Amino acid sequence: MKPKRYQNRIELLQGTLDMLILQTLQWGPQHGYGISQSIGGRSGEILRVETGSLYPALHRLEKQGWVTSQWKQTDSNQRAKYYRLTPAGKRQLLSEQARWGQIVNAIAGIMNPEF
Amino acid sequence: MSLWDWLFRRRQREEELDEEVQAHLRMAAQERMEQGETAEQARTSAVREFGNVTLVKEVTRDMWGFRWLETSLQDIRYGARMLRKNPGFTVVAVLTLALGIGANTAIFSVVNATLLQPLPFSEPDRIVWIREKNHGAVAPANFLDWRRQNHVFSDISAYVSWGANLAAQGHSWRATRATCSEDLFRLLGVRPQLGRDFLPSDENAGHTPVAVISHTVWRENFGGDPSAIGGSLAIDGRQFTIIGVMPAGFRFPGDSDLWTTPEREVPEVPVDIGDVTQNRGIRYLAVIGRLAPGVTLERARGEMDTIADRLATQYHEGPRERGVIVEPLKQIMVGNVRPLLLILLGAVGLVLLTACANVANLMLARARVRSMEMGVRSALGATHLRLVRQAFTESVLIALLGGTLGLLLSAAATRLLLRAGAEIIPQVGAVRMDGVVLGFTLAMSMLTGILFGLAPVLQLRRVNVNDSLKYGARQVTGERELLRSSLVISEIALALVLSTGAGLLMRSFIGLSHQARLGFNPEHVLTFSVAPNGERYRSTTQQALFYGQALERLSALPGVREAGVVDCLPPYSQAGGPITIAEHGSQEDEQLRGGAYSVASPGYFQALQIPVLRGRTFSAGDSVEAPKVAVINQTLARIFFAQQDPIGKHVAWFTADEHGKRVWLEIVGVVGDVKNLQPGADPMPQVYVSYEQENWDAGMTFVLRTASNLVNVTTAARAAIQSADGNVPVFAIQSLPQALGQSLSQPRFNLLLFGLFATVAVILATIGVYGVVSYMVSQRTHEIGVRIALGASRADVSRMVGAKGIKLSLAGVGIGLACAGVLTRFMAGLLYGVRPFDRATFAIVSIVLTAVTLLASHIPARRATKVDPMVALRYE
Repeated sequence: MKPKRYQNRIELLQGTLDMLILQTLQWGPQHGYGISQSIGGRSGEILRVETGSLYPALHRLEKQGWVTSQWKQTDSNQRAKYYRLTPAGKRQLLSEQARWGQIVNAIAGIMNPEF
Repeated sequence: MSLWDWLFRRRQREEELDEEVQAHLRMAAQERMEQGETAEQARTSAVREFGNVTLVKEVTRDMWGFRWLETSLQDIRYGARMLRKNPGFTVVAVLTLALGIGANTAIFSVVNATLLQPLPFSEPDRIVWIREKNHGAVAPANFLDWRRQNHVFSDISAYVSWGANLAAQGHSWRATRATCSEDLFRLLGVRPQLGRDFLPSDENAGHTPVAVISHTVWRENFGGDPSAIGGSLAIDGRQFTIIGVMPAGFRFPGDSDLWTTPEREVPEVPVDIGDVTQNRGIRYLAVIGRLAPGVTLERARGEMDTIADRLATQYHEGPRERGVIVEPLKQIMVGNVRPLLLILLGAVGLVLLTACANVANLMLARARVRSMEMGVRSALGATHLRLVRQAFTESVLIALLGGTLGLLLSAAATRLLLRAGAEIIPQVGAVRMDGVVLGFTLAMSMLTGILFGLAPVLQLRRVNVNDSLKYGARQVTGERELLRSSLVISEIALALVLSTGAGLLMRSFIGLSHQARLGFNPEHVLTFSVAPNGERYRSTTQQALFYGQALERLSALPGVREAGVVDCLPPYSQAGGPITIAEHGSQEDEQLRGGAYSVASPGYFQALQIPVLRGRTFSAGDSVEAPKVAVINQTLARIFFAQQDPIGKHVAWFTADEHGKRVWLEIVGVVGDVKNLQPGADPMPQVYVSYEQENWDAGMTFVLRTASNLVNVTTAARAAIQSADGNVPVFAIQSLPQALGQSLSQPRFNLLLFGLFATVAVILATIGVYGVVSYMVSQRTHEIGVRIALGASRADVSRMVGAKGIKLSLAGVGIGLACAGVLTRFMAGLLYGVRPFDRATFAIVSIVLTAVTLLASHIPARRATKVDPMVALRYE
């Protein structure tokens, strides 16, 4: 029996989850739970990030230096690990946004061909 | 996370991750509670929504990037624990490998130093050895012509080695002197460390002879003082100026202590042979040359052949005398040992392979037992790769342990081999455990780890989880059974052959060192040599005077019972030639038998307790003016005189006198035979002459029978000689048993080598039998349980299992005997006094080996009888 690896539900392109996380963090530092709620909320509950993908993604982003983490107190006085965007992360986000734009146009070009 | 973090803060990070996940769950539960769920529900649904916490944490940890390292560490820890829990298996496996790897490394170090290392000269493959065909050495005039006429060598140099007495700084000692062409060092590409090299002008310099000394001589006798350059050194009574010191370790040729240049173009010997430069008949030079740039060996050979032909024609030498051999120097220096070493390397390679096969067997026996464990792990989520890696890690661990132990074993074995084989293995000093050897060992360990690690891995491929968890599962691997059995049988056969060889050698060796064959009593005898030469000792009378005085003083020493002197200690002899008896008339050449000739004093026979069988030995009356007398040994009397009385007859000395006439000696006595020539060969006829009547230029050896401690006598004896002549150094001081031991060095070395191999082979064979029977037991545990449950007694079970062991044992011994019978014939040259097909040895070895292998199979057999049928039937 082979264990199934958790896969990105957002299977469009690799790195899309990364992009969404970075984008979410643009609005300020946030902890893991908060990020998953935010992505779900802002997408109208269409995109639901599985925690199995989220945490690995967060740690990967931290390893690559696009986010940093810090333990802070939440509003309800509990400890949580907050992630924050770094300048390098911001640059990465911009380039990913640009790429995303290109891909969206490309797909649109195929799906809606102009006569 | 960096490596640093991973190494030292891993635990902290893991706790943080745990806390992070807990925080997430807490917040999710909180939100749910705010939406109205109960605490209980909220928690449960939060967790459910989260998913597999453990798996998430694991995947997240993967992101940290050192997963491979982590799992490897896990594997290693687990493997180590497994090995610790099965000490029996671990010890046996590690020991097996250690033997195989250790033997390989030991032989490899020797091979590395002798065959693989280049000679310590510049561009050593361009240096060749040149000699005359059919002769070991070169005549001086030929060398000069070769030097003048060739175009293929950029340098060509001749040398000869001789013993010499050196004196400097107030004391004297014996050394090896090499006389060589002035370009020898340049040819080799080595320069003196201090001072200067020879110049062409140093040859033919009669008035200011110069010498270059070795590093050891400089250190030991001149204190390493740089002012030794320019100082004076007396060589055989003549003063030389030291002009240079060679670097440490340079002793070419052989173990030379100093080098001098010839006085007349070509190195000479301390024997008068007339005009050396014209002499083509007496060959004593060794010649080496360096191929000129661009010249191939073939071209050099061709040109030397041409030159040789030209010379032969010019000087009317017969076809037997023609021809020149040119060979690379390296080949000459190691040529004798190369085939032996290569065979050894092949043999240890085989040994290692069988060792690996053994361990593979052992591991298979164990893997069978652990298949259930594998099944459980697989069910818990381990990938196939993971299981394989785990099995592999264990193999590698065993291999590394075995390799380490093997390295230690080989260090000991190498030292043993070197001590025993010092005279036989060239460049012995260079053999050591260096980086190359260590790397080789490591590579061997890895290789063997992979080799036998494959066995259980392949086994694993057949692991079907369902099967292994079910009861009654059994894996049939019948086709490999035959392979395993034949492997063990061949191991036993190999062990038998080697043990037989070792047994034969041992019998032969014991026979050699047995004193009854010696013909004399070596106990409590001290020996040492002197070589008086120089102006003071030119004539027989002068030499006799010296020896006479020395003997007087030595006999007077307390603690010395008898003192004698002889040209050469038995079993060696220095002079030989055909025996001619005056009374028997002239004989045809073919009927002449060869014999040995010796010079001795009367005390010699008494000191060695050689029995006098007829007549007398020498006395004071046999002085220089008196008629010359001889004492012969029993063999000569028996062969040449049979029933007649040899006393009064005359035998010829092996050289003519200064007028070229034959010297007749009257036989006055017959003494017992002493061992001469090869150990084990029959004694040769021997003729002894008194030192007063014939002299021996090359020095003689004193033998003292002592009553007390040898060491005390040594000091006193040395002093006695010093007082006779302070310039004559004493050397080669040893007890006679020690001196004899040297002649046994080759047989001892052979015995050691064979013995080591045989031991290793026997151990491996034993382990092999144990492994196979063990495996069989583990395979058939279920069947054994059934049998016991159905009423079989312990004895029955034991017999069933033991039958396998007996079959293997008998087959192996049988095949081994057959092979040994054929192969020991090739050992005949190494055996003395023992026939290659010695029944006693064969019988003993077979019995012992059978007993040992039966014992090895007995242990798992006993284990089989202890099988609890309930357990066997229920589990696998």
